[in-house]
Amino acid sequence: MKPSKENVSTHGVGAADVLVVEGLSVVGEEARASGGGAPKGLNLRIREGEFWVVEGSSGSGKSRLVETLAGFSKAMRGTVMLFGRNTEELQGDDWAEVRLRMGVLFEEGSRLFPQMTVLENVTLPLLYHREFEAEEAREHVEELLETLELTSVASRMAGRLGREWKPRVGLARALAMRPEFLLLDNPIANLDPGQTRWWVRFLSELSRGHAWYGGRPVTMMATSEDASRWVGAGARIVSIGGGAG
Amino acid sequence: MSEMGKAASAIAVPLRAGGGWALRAGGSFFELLRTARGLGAFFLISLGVGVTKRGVARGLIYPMARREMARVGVKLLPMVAFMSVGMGFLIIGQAVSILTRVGAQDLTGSIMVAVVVRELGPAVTALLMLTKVGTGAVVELGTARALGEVEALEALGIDPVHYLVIPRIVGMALSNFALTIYCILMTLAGGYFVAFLQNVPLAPGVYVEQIARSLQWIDFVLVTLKTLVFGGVIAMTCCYEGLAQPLRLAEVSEATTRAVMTSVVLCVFFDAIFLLQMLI
Repeated sequence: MKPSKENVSTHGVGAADVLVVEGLSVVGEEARASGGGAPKGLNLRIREGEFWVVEGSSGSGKSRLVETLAGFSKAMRGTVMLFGRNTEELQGDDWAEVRLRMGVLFEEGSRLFPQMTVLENVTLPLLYHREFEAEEAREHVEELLETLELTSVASRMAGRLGREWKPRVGLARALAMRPEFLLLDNPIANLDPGQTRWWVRFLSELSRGHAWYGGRPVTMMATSEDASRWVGAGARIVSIGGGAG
Repeated sequence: MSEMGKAASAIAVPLRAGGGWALRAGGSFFELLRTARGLGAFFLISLGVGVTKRGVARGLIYPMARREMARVGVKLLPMVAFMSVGMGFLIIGQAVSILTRVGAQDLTGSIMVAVVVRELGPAVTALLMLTKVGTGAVVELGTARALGEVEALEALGIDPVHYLVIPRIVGMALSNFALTIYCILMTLAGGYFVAFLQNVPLAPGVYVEQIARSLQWIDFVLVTLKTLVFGGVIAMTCCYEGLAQPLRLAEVSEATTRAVMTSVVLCVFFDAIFLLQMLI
């Protein structure tokens, strides 16, 4: 069932390529320290509407891979094309343009703004980019908060949320602008089976076409330590090998 | 140890013993140059962002700048009031009293303007701004950077300089101006109160008239420019130290110390430039 393959090569011309990675090498911190594995010479092509899970053990450089794809780290080698643009050539505002088309969910508490409420976290991109009034932005994300079952915690400070809520709030924030491509760093790490099921089901719905997107399928790439937890999500799986652990 | 390593150690030992101060001075000089270059680049980036994005997200950024002004002003006002009245009591009161005793009370206004309006008011307010608000900004921004919140902003397509730096620069510069005016007024009033307690024969009307006569139009320009520059420099330096380089949480306190030292040096530097402008 698990079509695990190292250095997947999916060359070919496609107008709807969202992410094309060629010969990418990144080294994770732990892997660098221990000489463990890390994505080296990775080739990957993600087309519009596809959902990929990149599997790798702890310290294998998954987070570094996500950071590199999102433009927060430099690749050691190789090229990354996002929406047809080489990320090496992107500068300042070009990156902002590309990032508006993709949503990033970080690992470890999702890097929420702890001094803001959940609602403020989620509406911030709308206030900034669409210049919504606070009330207008709240109405706009109401449906999203309901879908993600966050209505009950909307007024809580993000810094005081439990571990199970933080990735969901991070996801809501990433989805607020309805990006075309979602990059998720280990979203189900340290979650209990119930929470994991929720994530697999929800991302599967997003991948097939969710009401929040007007039924349009969302392109996604998630990293995970254990691909078997994604069974039923309809995701293609690629392994980037073992890590330090 | 290799032969080359032994040779290097042999050279390094006398250098450390005899020329330690020279090495430290050299190191400090290059550190100063590095900071100046970094601050210069950060200033240009902030200026560029401030100009090119002045119309972007006005509904979010402008209220943030106003909130920053209110926050800084409200936070500092009691301390500024305390320091101003204290300065009035300790320094100005004595000066007024001594000048009156030696029959030089006509000079009171000139000295008040030179000491309080031109120098003490802006300097003390800037120092309070730096210690109470500036250091807080370094900690806030340094922690945000260390915890990856800055990258989270970038991931949302939000320019961190536009969102985090511009409101602080505007808020701190304008607050510094407003607080300095309060500081000057309260110091002058406090000083006169002490003089009054010491039975100095100086009527309030005469005191105010002397000050008004000594004030020139250049003083208003100078106080405005000086306070805006001091506030802007402190905000810029604190934001630079907090944001410009990746920090670990343990490094935030060090960055705060650097911000304080650099801000003091820069404020004194700009103060000297303003003084030279006055003298020329």
